[in-house]
This record gives sequence, structure tokens and C-alpha cells, in this order.
Amino acid sequence: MPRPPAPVFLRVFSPKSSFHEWLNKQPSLPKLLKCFDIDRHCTTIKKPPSVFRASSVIEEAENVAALFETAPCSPELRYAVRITGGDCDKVGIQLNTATRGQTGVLSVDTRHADLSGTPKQFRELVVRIVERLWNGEDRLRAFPAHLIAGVLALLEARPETEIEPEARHRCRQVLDKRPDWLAVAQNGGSVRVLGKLDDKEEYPVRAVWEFPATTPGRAGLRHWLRAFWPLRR
Amino acid sequence: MDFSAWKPLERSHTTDVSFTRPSTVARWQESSLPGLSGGGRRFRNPRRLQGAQEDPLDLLCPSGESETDVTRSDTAPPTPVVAVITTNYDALVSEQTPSRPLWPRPAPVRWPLLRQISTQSYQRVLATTELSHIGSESNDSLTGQDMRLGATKLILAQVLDARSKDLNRMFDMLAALSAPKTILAACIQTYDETHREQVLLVACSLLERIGRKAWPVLRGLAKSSRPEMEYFVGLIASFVGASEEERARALQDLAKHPDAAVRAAVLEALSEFSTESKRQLLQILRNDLDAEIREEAEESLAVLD
Repeated sequence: MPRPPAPVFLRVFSPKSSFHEWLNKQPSLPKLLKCFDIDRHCTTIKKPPSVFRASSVIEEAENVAALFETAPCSPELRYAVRITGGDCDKVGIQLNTATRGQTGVLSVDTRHADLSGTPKQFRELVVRIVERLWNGEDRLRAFPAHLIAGVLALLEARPETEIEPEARHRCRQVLDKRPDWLAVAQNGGSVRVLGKLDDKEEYPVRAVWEFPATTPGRAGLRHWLRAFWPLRR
Repeated sequence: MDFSAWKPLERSHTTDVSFTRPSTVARWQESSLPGLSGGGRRFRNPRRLQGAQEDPLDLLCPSGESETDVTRSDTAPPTPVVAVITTNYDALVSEQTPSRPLWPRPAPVRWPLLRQISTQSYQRVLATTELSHIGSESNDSLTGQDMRLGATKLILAQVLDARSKDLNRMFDMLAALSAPKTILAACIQTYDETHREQVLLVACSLLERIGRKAWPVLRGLAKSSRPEMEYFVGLIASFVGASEEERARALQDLAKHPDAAVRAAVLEALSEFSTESKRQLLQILRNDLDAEIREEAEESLAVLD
């Protein structure tokens, strides 16, 4: 039986130039540190950078989408760098999982962690990630705006036990910015993310996201129990 | 709230805030408020110190860009402003108008209770003398704009670490009660202090939410030479509150931005425009200093033709 993939920790950032910086022949350290909101010349880290654990591509997309709705605006491309527990061990950075995330999406918030370390350790972490990139490891991720919109539609449809009403409202705000991007199936079981290629001819692109039939996990179980509690009494 | 009463920022406006009483400085420094911990610090603007070309964004950020004690002033004589800032957060939190004088009463800090502030109290704070927590020791005094900038920065500092439950209310307050110019200035200053990109994303979110009223600020921002413009290119390109012509003109300015990353972002944002606007932008970018941008612009032009 194949082993499940080891979880990675996703550090999300938005400038495309930062994404390209990781791939440069001679990456600029100050620019790479910016991905962690760290100034090259700082002596202490005032706010430990936040990361989100992910064990699958879906979880990665959920993390990015949930983070996106904390500053709701038109869906935009986002990037992420993947950090492993081994990276942190190697450079001496602590993964502090005690603090919960503040996205309002329960499953994402429980996957939150803070990276605690010194500026020197973060510089070493950046070096380590670049080394792993040059070793051919899959360390960088890009999340297209349409993907974020699709995942936000899924998050918005979750039951109250899994997403706070305020977060749901923010998801709706983002989706309302691009109403032409999404179409929900008549049976409500799936959402289509719509777009097209930029060309003289029409090349439509449609990605389909299925809403989960049942809500998995502890939150879903709690929701189920709550629903039947009056009957038991 | 009567926005017309708010004074616009002017270049002649005195800009720096410094403290004379050590106790006040200590109070700011000791406080656990994220936005206040560096209360007495000045921000540096190397471009200004080097006498470089005026950055329009500087006009949006009035507080503490000067490194000297004497603040810049183009029309008025350079008068150092010596203002003492205290804040009465009890009044903020309890939503009651304090009956006794605020100064020199020490200000107990209860900022974590920010979530209890209602829109009315914030409005009162901004619109009336509630923020006359700011007392002056000189003839000159801080204007309402400075107070609002300070208040906006404080709220913004809370937004960055706020719980999801509190975020929407804070966004609503900021978008409804702070002018776009103030929001942008506060965000840029906070970014300079914290280096947290979330501040800029919040700025984009708020300006987009405000809509048409925020366009003049974004238009001015497009002329800025700050490298952080990369965050705003997408917003400017797809801004709902501006016509395509206006947006295209703003992007033409951005296409000449000194930072290659910003110019590359312009190239990415072309899908928001009609063929004619695209062509005009690509004509600028085909002469770019950066070879990659030049090549991509040439390719895109070839596809258009």
C-alpha cells in the first residue's frame, strides 16, 4: 500500500516577481525573504510567518482560497512555497501549531502554524528551499484566479459547522466580483468554473468542481449529531 | 458622516509628530498595542533624503517621512510640530463620551476590546473631538486628517491579526468612515513598518470595495514609483469604478514604471482591455528596457495584428 504523502507547509504570497525570483539563476535573498514578510536587515522577527499544513492538492487550494477571502477582492493569482518539516528541523525553525488560523474556515484554521525562528534561520531556510528546488523537488505552486474562485464556491457551500458566517459572507463578496466565472449545476451538486483562452477564435475552458455529497471529518459528524439531537431527546 | 468637512492633504501641511514628554513616549512604547509600539519612531524615505523626484505617494503619507525634526513645508514656514498624543481607549470601548478632560490623564490601554466598538463610536471618534486625545503643546496642531490617519492605522493594525468574526465589521468601518486617501496612506505606512504584504492586500480590498470614490487615489498611485505598485496593477486594470479609457491611461503610466516587475504585471493585466487599448499599451512595452518584457510585448502585438 503506497504511503500517504508527507504533509507540507504552505507559505502563500502574491507578487509574481517573488515567484520568479525563486527560479532565477541567482535569486535575490531580500526578495525571497519578502515571501515570508521578513526584511533582509531586520534583527528580530516581530511576527512569525504563518504557514498552512497541506496533505493534498485540494488542501493546498483550500488553504490559499481561505487565506484569499481574508482580504476579499476580485479573484487573483496566488503563489505558494512548500516547506517541509525536515526543512524546519534542518535550520532550527520551530513549527508552532498552537495558534489557530483566522480565516474562518474551520478545516483550514486547524492546519495553521507559525514559523518561529531568528532572521538567520530564515535566511538558511530560504537557502535550503532553493537547494531543494535545484534538486528537482516540487516546492513552488501557482493557484490561478479561476481555481481560487472554484474553491471559494465550495467553501461557501459548506455547513455552518465548517465555516463561520462572516467568512462565508467574504467568500460571497469575492465570488460576486466575477459572477460570470461560475455556474452552479441545476441539481446543486457541482459548480462550473468558466473562462476562455485569449485568442481570435473562441476556446472556452470549463473546470467542474463537485460539491461533496456528505461532509467528511469531525465537523461533519458534529453537524450530523446536532441535527439529530432533538429526536434523541 | 459629513465627508466634505474632511480636509484634503496638502503639501504645505506639517507632517511630523514627535513627543516632548518622556512619560508619553514611554506609554506608547510600553503599550501592547501593535500599532503603537513604535509610536515615537520616524519613517525614512531615502528618495526624499536624496532629493529624488517627488513621489506622488509621498503626498498621501503625511506622517513622519522626514528624518529631521523640522518638517517639510512648501508654503508655510517650517514650524516643528510638537504634539502629544494620548488615547482614551476606555472611551472608545465603552462608547461613552468622556466627561472629564482627556489630557493629561494617563490612557489605560484596552485595545484588544476593539471588536466592541460600534460604528457609531468610531464615527464619533473620527468626526468629533473624541480624538482630541491629541493635545498640542505648540501653537500648531495636528489636523483632523492626521487624527484620521492615526486612527485608521490603529484599526488596520488590528485588522492584520483580527479574528475572522471581527474582520467584516472592521472592513465596513474602514471603508465607510475613512477616506480612500487615508486608507492608502495608512496601509503604505503600515507596510513600511511591518513588511506584511497582507496590509497591501487589505488596501486593495478596501479600495475596490469603496469603488468610484477611490479611483482618484488609485490614479495618483499609478504615478508613484514605489515597487509595491505591483500589488495594485491588477486592481487598477480591472477597477469597476473607472472607464476603460481611464484605466488604460493609468496603465500607460505603469508601463513606464522604473520597476520591471510592475511593467511585467501590466503585461499580465492586458486581458482586461479591448484590442485598441491593448495595442496602445503594447506599443509602450515593446520599447521596454527589459528584454523579456520587450519580447513578450512583440509577440502579443504580432498576435493582435
